Amino acid sequence: MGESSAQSMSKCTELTLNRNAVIDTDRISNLPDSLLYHILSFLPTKEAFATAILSNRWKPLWTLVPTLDIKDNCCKKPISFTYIVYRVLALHIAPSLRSFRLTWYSPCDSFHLDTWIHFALARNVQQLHLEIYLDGRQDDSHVYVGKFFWLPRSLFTCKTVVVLELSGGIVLNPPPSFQFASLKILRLSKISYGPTNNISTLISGCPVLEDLSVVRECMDNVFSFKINVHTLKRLHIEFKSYKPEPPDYNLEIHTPALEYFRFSGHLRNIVFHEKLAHLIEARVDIYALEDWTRVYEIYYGDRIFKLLRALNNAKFLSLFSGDKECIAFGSIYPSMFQNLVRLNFKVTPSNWHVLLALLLVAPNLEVLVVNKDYDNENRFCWMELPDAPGCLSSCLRTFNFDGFEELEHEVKFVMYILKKARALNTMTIKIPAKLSKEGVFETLSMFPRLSTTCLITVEKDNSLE
Amino acid sequence: MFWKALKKSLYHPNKVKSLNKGHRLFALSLPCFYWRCKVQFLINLHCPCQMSEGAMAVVKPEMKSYIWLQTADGSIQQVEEEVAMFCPMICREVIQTGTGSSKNYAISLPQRVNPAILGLILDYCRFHQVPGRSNKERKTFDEKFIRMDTKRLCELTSAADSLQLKPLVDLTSRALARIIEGKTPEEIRETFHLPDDLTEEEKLEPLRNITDDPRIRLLNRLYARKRKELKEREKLKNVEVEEERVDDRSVDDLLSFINGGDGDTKGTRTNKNKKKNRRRKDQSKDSCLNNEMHDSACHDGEGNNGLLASASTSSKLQDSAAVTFSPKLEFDDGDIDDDLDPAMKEELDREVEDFARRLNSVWPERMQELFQGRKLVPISLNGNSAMSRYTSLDQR
Repeated sequence: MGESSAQSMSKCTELTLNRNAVIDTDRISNLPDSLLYHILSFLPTKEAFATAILSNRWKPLWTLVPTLDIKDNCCKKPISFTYIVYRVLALHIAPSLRSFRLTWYSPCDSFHLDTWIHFALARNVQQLHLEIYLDGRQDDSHVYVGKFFWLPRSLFTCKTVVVLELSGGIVLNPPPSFQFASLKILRLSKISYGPTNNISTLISGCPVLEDLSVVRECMDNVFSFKINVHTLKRLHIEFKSYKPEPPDYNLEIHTPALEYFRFSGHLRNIVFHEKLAHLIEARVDIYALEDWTRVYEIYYGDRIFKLLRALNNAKFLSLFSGDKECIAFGSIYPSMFQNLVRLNFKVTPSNWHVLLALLLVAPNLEVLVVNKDYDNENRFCWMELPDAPGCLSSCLRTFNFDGFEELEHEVKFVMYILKKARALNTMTIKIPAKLSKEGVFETLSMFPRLSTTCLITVEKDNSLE
Repeated sequence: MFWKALKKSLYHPNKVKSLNKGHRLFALSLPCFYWRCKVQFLINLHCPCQMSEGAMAVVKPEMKSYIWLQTADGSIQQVEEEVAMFCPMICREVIQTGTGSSKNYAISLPQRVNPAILGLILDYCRFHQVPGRSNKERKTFDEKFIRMDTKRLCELTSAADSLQLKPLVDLTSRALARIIEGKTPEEIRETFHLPDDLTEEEKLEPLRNITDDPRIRLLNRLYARKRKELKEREKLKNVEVEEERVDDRSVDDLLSFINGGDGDTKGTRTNKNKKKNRRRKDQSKDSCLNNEMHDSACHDGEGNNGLLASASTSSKLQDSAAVTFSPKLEFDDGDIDDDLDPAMKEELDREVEDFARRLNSVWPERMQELFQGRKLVPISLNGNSAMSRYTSLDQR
């Protein structure tokens, strides 16, 4: 009897142990609701929704997750999917949404999308991301031709939205006077603007805007607008065009508090009406279509230098001033780049002189990174290296040259740097695979150098041809 | 001069901090081993750093500040001040209540923090509180740090939350979300050892209609009806031919819906019927079914193919993708009792889609198609008559 009781005892403990084991190892369900909502908020709504059948604990959780991420399935029959979205939205009871993301690439009636956006607005959404192509996304062309989606008017009276991101076949149509009282980040990517005043109206209706990004890929008509925002800290402008005609635009910028500026694309008229005293970083990548630069070449270089002059307070500058010869005209003088500490320069046959000009006007430069963007090219704009004292001498610590091919002017340039930079600590040269590391290293070591602590490194860059 | 300086610093209480650093330098800088030992000996004699722990507890805070933390199990740890202060909760305790400065007044941490997890959290804090690190370094550290089993990850999330260490909460939550993402419900249950405590009904109809949207209710009913019909069709392929009891009620539901009636209870009944009519899965028939679907010529006597003629033009993948949204939810693959296999589900879903689309388009035209397609299967006769009833209603 004792044995059997012992056996039953051990059985009991065994059972208890097993039960404990089962209970103990389900750790995730013991997390508080708020944490589970937080975890589910990182999943697309499709997956969060599916957790409803995991267990009793998980059944109601998805309905209170404060984010909704709806992405269509790119199927040719999206009608039943729209039903599903309605169902999801109807059952979702979180009182306020932190983020609502709608990505829609299938043919659809716009009133459905309109309804869903209304739903989000009614839930005091803070971040709204819309990417909508009503007629399906056309991948082969850069231009979307199809039905456009008109944003619901109630969007423009939303007081809670902090981040607004619009891209795709959407038409921007703000009412004449409105305010996005809380909007801090606005990103417009490849959308349609209708009459050009729309974007000025939109931007002027954002009193606390800090981050603006405007990307346009196809510009049909003259596009002029003002950016007059005193709180703006970050500005990103990208105007590219795949048409043979040059895009034309006039941009007037009043942003005294700007800290970060990025421009990419075809440069036309960009005027900064106020000095950018707080500018920390500027990135400028200029691309030009072959055809029209021939016509405008006289003004092109001028335009580039005008933009650069406006950016002269930057601490970090990354510049690719294009590869067209017309840049040979114009100069940076007389602006000085007093605060410039780091310069990333992408060099082409036609803009060596820009680099040299910058070196002259940046007495406090500490890091210089030069990237080469051409093959062995005979014609290039070269100018006699300035012998001015104080130029590069005291501050330059790091010098990187990517794409060194031992061409004559490159060698001259490297010699010049070594001769002038007294404080140079490291010089890193990246060569293409066809050259030999040791050979280049030997050549470089022969050059006279002013700095006693300079460390020269030669690396092979296998990504270059 | 050297000895004078040493003695002065030894007896001056305020100089204790610099001595700690200094004495090591002294000892090491002496060229002669003998002198080094002598100096070390003297320092050892007088330096409070070498004294007992009790005394050390008093003196050390002046040299390097430590915070005392007590976990729920009673054990006490001491942690460097800057590391501990990285946690908002500890920071608040120190500032507001002044605890943590000594062993007797250790800050008691919330219950969710056990010593092992505390160690992990402190490692995290120790790395991130250093200001000079680049974003890339921090990211690399985070990626390595987060590699651990799910049990520990859950504990860490819980502990970080109770200490209000938001960056760590975000990091661990994202990691858990990544683990959940892309898995089927069974896989998730297995990974996290979740109890499988939902009833069949709850799993198959998880989104009970709590909305008045008539389209959604209709869709539910269509689903149920289609499920049944597919099952029935499968049975026809089996050797055993059983008379299937057709569920008239689902058709009535649709009718009553059109007439504006309340169909909720009927919807429930449909489900129960479905449950009663369960059969085991027949997997060998899968491929047959699939092939049929793709034939798209409505020849093989399956009435529903008429409906599916247009459905089969779109790729299988797309359609199954289109409704993975709900089947994932509504059908539990691993469940033994479930008699619908994936192929049938896809078929079903395609049909429902198509059906739903047709509801939105012109009736008469579609009724023609449906009528023609369905006449071959005895069961569908009822369907046909339902359709004709629809037609007549529609053309009132």
